[in-house]
Amino acid sequence: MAYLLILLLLVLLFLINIGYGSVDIPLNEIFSVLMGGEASKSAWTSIVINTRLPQTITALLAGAGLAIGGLQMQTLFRNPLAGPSILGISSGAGLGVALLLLVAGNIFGFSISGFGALGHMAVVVAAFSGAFLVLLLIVFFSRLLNDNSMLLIVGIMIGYAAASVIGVMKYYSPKEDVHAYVIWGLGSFSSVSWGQLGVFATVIILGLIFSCLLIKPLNILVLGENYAYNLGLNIKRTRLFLLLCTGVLTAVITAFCGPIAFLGLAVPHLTKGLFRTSDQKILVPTVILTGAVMALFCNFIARMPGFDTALPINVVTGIIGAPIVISVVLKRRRISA
Amino acid sequence: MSLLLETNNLSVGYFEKKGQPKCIHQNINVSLAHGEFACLLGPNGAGKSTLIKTLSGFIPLIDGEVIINGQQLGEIRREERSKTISVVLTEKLQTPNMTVFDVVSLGRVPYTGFFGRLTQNDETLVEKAIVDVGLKGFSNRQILQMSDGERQKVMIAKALVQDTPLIILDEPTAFLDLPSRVEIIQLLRKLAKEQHKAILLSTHDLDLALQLADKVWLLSQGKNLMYGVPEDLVLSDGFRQFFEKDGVLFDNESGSFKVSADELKSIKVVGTGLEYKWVSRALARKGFKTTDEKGDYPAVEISTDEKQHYRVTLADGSQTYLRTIEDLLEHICKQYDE
Repeated sequence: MAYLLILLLLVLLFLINIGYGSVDIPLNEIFSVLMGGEASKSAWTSIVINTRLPQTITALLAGAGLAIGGLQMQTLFRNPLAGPSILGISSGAGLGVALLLLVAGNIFGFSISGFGALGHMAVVVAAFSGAFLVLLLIVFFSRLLNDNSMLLIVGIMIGYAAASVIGVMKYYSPKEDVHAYVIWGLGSFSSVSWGQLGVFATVIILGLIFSCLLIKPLNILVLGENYAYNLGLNIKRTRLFLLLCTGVLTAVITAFCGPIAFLGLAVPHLTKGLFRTSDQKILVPTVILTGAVMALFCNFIARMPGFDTALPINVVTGIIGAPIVISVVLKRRRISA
Repeated sequence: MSLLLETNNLSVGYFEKKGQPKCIHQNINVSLAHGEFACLLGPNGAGKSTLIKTLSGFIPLIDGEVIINGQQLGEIRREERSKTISVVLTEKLQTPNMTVFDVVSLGRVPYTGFFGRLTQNDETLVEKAIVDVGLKGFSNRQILQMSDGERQKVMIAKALVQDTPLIILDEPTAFLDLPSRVEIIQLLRKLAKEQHKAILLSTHDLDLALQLADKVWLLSQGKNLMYGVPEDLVLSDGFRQFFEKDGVLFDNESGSFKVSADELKSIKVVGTGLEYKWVSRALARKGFKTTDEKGDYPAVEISTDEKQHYRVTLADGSQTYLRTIEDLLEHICKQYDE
């Protein structure tokens, strides 16, 4: 029942995201474009195919990927406040982008943002390199440390270290470069072109499939590491798989869309609240779907009329995500009291 | 009874950073048979936890061997180990949105397929285990809404469906109240008998272990592990050697610990039965030794008629009648303060 509701919502929001925007396009025209036809105005075809469709698909996949990453980290660390960014991976991406934007501006004296598509590609590569480097670091530490909470602290520390390096660079950089960095930091689902979408979608879908294969280990981890070990779980391998899965998903999504806040943390809580279960066989697919729904919803809100140009996506996810996190914290307190 | 677990000159401890073993206890030679309920007792710091962790396969042994079902523990593969040893730990499970059934069914994990789906048979076993630990009708209860004792029963049910010949419990009663402790230990004893499982339990509940355990394992720093039927260990002064410290005495007669106070004087107490016992106990707490021979004054006489009172005779022959033990103690102590 609830499954159907979420699927319905997903389809509905998918259509709304494509049908709705700053340019009014009649519904029948949109359908004919989606069916492979042409709209009566060629600009409409172009808007639907080249702008709205890739943006909608990007939002859907990014939401699903971040949400499942959040679920995996919350389960691995048995911490309700963990999210995909807890490992410092998005900070790593930020560091990569900051290095590119700010160093290019400072030392070589040109602005990356002026290079259009090529510039965007450079940002994606820089962000992914930064994120991947941090992921390698985390994997290295995970083999060194047996204690998950220590690993959590290392992840947060890497995040802090990256943030302070970024701070130093910002301090010494000209205004325009800092602005470009700030814009990247606000996140956007709109900068993935059809050309990039192939790579993006492939990685995310592989990550989602891999997540489904980790359902049983994730379920066992709910009991805590000691019980899980006794039940025959290979703890080290499971942890490595989970870190890699969340890590790669987060790295790719952050590289293409910027650091998207809150979705990864809030969606698992929202789903657990809706389905009242801790069974990962139910949670994994529903978290993926709910993540997609939430991202589409936020993307839709961000483009509501009245906001002349689209609002940055992080402004919206924060406003929706924060109340959810607060309500979860309050609810937890009630239970333990 | 055939042996399930056996150790030969086992040393347990931890490996420190550079691979240097830090031995906590050595020369452990002990065995556990099918259907036997054994309690591991010892003061804190004796290495109980380390021994339990080694036997459950959580940490590697340092020297010697552990043989389970005729196989070296270290050579049992991960999957097979999960079908041989199940554990119940001290830690509390606090996952929201998890029912008793959910937790217990995780015990079937070693037997389920890739996605962990339960078969009809698995579900029947889970329901049966929930009934076996006395939680009938609790299947759909949220574990967050259960008491600590009930939660430990859930974990015992998990161990049961894991269907292992050996269940090892690391201080499962540590944070429970007394009635829950008694219940859990009685339950374990019952399961050992009825389901023919070998159960090893580490605990601080000496009284209960003495009454219910088939075997007691005594562990103390710097001494070889002693094990046997509890009564044998009492008679061979095992408990005295293992537990006595300054001010704590093990009374071989009652099988319990006594706090020794410096004994001041002996007092003659005349009387019988329950009242005599508790009066002696109260006096012992104040440091008086009771004797039924002619001792020093004051002397206490416990009334034998219906009207309950205590008659205290002082050295000068004066007599006082008192109604409660509290008054009695006060009266006697006053004599000594003067």
